[in-house]
Amino acid sequence: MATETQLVDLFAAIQQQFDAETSIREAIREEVRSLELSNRKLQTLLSQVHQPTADDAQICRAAAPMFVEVAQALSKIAAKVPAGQFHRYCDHWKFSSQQSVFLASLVVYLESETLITFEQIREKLGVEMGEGDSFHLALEDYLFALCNLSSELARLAVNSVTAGRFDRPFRIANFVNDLNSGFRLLNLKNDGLRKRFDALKYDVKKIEEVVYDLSIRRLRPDSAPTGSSSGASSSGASTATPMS
Amino acid sequence: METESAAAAAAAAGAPATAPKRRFEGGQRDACKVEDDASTCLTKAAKRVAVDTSNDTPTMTLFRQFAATMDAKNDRHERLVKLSRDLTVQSKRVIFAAQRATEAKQRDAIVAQALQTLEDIRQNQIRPMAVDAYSMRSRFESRYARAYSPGMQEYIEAVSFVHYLATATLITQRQLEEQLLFDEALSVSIDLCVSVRFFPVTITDYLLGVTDLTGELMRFAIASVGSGNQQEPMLIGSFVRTLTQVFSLLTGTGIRDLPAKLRVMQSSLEKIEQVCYNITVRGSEIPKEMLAQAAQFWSSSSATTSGPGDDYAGGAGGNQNDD
Repeated sequence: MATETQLVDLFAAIQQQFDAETSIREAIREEVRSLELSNRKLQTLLSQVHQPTADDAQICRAAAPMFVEVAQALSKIAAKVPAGQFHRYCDHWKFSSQQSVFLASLVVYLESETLITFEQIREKLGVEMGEGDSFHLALEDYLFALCNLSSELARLAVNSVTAGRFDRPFRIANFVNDLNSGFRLLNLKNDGLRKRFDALKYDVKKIEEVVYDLSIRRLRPDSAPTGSSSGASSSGASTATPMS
Repeated sequence: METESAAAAAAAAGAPATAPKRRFEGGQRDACKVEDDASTCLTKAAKRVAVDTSNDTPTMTLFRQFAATMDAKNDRHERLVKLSRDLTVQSKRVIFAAQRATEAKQRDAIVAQALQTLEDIRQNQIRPMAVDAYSMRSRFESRYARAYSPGMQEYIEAVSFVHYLATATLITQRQLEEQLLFDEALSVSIDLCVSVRFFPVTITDYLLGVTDLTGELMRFAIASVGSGNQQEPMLIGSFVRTLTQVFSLLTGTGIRDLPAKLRVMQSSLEKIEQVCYNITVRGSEIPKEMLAQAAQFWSSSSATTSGPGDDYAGGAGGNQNDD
């Protein structure tokens, strides 16, 4: 029957498409593994900032060559993605590339206490921020990374106190509060980013508790910034005043 | 939810200042035949209502830009979801109409009518989707494919069903795509004309649409016996059998819904086979005028098919309730 052979041919062609896709996915997974490895090495290095004796500047200098490695891994992934099919495969590396952006944002914070810009992401990771079907980092990736950064800074606020750097939590509080007010301007859908953002308030609270502990014990250095951000004075930690 | 609150905000702020601008935009959207929903306009209006930005930190200024980008993307996504839902409803109507083509003398007329309706659907439902699926840089953006995938599957089911009735063959992915060439220039914005040449049919939508086709063919086979057509179930039976065979050849597709659909497909095939068996064994005993009743009895004993209409409210989910 003529139709039967036609159908067999048709589905053989479809199977070929799937086979091609499978081999692309395998190749991408291979490269994502090497990105994960580079990320982990970088993370191990950067986690040293929580040590009492940490020298931030030196850690950031040591991180620079490791970002080259991350950028190479990302470009290798980009090379494996067929033109125009970014969204078909991007779930494979999304988590890892968010991690890379987070690590880059942490280094930028340690260097200059500023929010990482798209320009700096391109310098460090060699990937454009953008949209469309060419290889890029999406806005969501950036925002996820900033949520991760807030968690990391909350931890850093605690450890800074242990290290005797009492001024730092005040600056972290300002930075994270500012970030939090930024996030509150977004109309988030009920998706993963929304959930991640909902967890941001616990980081804010943790940092404010540190600020509170330092403030009531008069450990606030004169150089520390006053809480200028609107959210800083209104959260749970400061209302639970046991002083009266 | 966000759109609603934005709309409420605009209403509360009484946005008369933005009204003329809004009307202008509405006209512009009409020009390119995109059904613009009022909520989108209101979101834009709400944004234009003066927000006190004097106390903004640089971070907040940055995030306001992000918010605008994300809103535009979400609006586009929502528009596509809406169009997809309309496409589902329209496609189901075509399927129900085509199910009535069981009597040979009506068949050509009904099929011709269905083909015409499908062309209307392409122009009125899929063309606006094509406009939204292309970015301003006239590149097709596959990220939005998820928004309209349910509608496309239903559409593919309808097209392949009518195509089968017309030609007794399976429509190919390429044939589907050839029907979706919108080759005239579509004005997307006032200063940019984008020629939407090609609206891709994904392999996933194609395969899932075709598995749903077998459910429709099963119903059609049973209904044909009711109309006194004993030949049709045999033809459909061998066609669906071939389909299940070639589907079983596929491995490693990674399509999440496919295994469940293939089980439904298999049970549809078995129902058709049961009908064919009954025709062969008992068909000779039954006078032709009683066949209609008998067919109904057979199908209710071998297959608990309710008539068309059982999954009308099925919405975006496709036909999960085929058996």
